[in-house]
Amino acid sequence: MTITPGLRKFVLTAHVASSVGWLGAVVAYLTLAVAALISEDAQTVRAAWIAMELTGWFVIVPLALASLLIGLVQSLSTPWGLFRHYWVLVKLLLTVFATIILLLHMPTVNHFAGVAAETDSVNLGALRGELLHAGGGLLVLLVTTTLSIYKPRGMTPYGWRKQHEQRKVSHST
Amino acid sequence: MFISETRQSLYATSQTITGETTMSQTRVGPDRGSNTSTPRWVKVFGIIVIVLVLLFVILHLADPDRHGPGRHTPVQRG
Repeated sequence: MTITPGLRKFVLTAHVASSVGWLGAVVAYLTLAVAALISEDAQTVRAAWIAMELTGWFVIVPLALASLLIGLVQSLSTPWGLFRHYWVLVKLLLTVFATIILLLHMPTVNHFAGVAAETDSVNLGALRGELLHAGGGLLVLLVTTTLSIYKPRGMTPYGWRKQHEQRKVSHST
Repeated sequence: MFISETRQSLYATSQTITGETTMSQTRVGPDRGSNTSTPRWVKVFGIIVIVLVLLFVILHLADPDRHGPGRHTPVQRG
């Protein structure tokens, strides 16, 4: 699959915007979780849970899905490919992993946001869980961002095979 | 001979890629991926991931009720 250079630039811009936006939204989410954990005020904790639920469903989940889908389109439409270079493959696996954990975790956020909205009780264990999930997500996103910038060397066996095939074709023509 | 050709081919591919897709405009060098063995960074990364997964599994086996809604003791505040 090939696309024009102009469209390629547009897809790259969309991928960077969605990925960096995802990272920023996770930082905001983490800030809310920390604020709720250290606050002595039940109203603050309740507000934080509601904000976390909204941020999760309406910012983080859409950006995660956009980043994953646009990244797939981008890699398949450039010479990098999806399985040819280790850094692209690792990025793909990390993004898929983070998205799955996010989607599996969001119902838990719904539950605790609902409990916080209805009662004055504060679930410290749940807030620590949020810290763990958001912190882990942030770490994964920092790794994927670093891979995108540095592009460490290394082709997969599939990448070598494809390159060898292309070289043979170019030599024979 | 093979490595030399591979390097030249990689260099050409990298130049094409660098101009169009990098986020940082970092130039991809001619020595990148000049052998077919798995790079060291991939091995180190794999080991770190395995350790983290094992840690996660051990933590959950030690306390299976750590995860999920309604499994944490609420604390009254305010």
